[in-house]
Amino acid sequence: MLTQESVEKKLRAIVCKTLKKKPEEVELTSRFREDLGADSLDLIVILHEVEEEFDVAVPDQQVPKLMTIGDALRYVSEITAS
Amino acid sequence: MKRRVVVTGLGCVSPAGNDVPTTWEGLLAGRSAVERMSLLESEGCQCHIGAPVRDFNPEALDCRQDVSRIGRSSQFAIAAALEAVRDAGLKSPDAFRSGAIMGTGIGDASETFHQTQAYLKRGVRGIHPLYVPRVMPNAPAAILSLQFGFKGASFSVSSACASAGHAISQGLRMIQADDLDVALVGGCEESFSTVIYAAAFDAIRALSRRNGDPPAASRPFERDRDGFVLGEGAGVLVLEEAAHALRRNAKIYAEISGAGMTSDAHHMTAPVADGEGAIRAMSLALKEAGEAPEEIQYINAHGTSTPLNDRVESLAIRKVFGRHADSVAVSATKSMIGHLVGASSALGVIATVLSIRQGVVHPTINYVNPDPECDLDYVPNVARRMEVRGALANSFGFGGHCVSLAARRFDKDRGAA
Repeated sequence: MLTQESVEKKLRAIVCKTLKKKPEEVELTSRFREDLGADSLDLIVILHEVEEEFDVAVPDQQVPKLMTIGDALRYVSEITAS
Repeated sequence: MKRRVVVTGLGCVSPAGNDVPTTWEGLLAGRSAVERMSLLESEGCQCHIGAPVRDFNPEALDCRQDVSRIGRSSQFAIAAALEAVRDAGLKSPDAFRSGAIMGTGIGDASETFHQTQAYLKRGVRGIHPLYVPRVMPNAPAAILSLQFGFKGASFSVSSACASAGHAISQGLRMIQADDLDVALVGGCEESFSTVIYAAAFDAIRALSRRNGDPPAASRPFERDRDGFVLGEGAGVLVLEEAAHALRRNAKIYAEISGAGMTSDAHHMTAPVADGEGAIRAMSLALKEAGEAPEEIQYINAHGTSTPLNDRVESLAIRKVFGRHADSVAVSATKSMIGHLVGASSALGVIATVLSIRQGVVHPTINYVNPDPECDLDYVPNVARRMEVRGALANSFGFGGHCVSLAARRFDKDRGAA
């Protein structure tokens, strides 16, 4: 099973790569749109990369609730644990 | 009076270099950019050679969009357009009167190859959300419009190897028709992100198999030619309404004085044997330019190095120009940089307007043994200093599409044709 730490590391890597950010620019509380400048296409790409990386399917109704890396971390940890 | 159209900026990414000065220097030096390609060899193609773009770093481009959202051919296009707009010194033209019309033969269809592999591995969930913006053939036109904030007409056209010719013609027409004052026009193509295009052109027996001597493989109009060499890249020209260019004291390379567009209606891949479509295209371009054959000193040939194209194009030039055909210099850009497919005509027109401006034409290299069926002056092997006042640039595509563009030295006092 993935540790919380390794999930976070992978999520950060996905966000940094997609949004072309340096690791130090990205906090767990950074909001994708407001703080990191993501647009709708970026969000969909991040979602796709997350689904690929963790082999999960994120239902559409979950997506609006995932506004920060922290949100994504909690969600991914939950469903990979179950 | 008809609105006249001039070229005020040039940009390219080519196998001979990732800008116009480097590419032009290579063309004038008669340097081949064809090399052995391990990708083609290891995959088992019969043809092991190509002319790839080298050292291209899309991340280094000053692109307003994330370059991962577009495919490699669109990345070539944006690089060429950035150079062209800079060269034109175009600051902030009226956005509503500025547009982008790009040609591509296949575009970034390689994305379909990659996404098909993802699908086979992981099903529909493997399909990447950027597949559509990357693969759509209008991406190169869209990315140029976004980059420069051009809000006039922007779209792509496709006619295989004549795509850029049609895009340039369409830009000409839209400026003439008073729809636009400024048009970014040209073409782009990428050929080697997968092996499938080379394999396909190989399967259709269109490619040279002179694997032992890559620089000698592309030999348009020469007796021992055995097919074309696949290249890739992009070329973009800034077309501008002449008065618009004069008002801002722009550097004017040449006037685009006419376009002839025809179809063979004959065969999906072969030109019609008597060159009828090519003959009419050149004749229509001359007619629109108001020029007699004697006023043309140079023709940038489609000149692919396939046995059939070069024979038919030579025949067509002779039919249109009659006895004057012996006095026209004809050269083939593809002898050095291979066939850039949907971008090829953009490079040909760039070479043509540079010849007009600088008084020098590039050679057709690898010209050793004349072919009795190709009996024109092909500027063999060495560039030639000569005055070029009027010129044609030809492009012909699979499907029987023929385009000939007429260009001439710009004379502001000359009445529109």
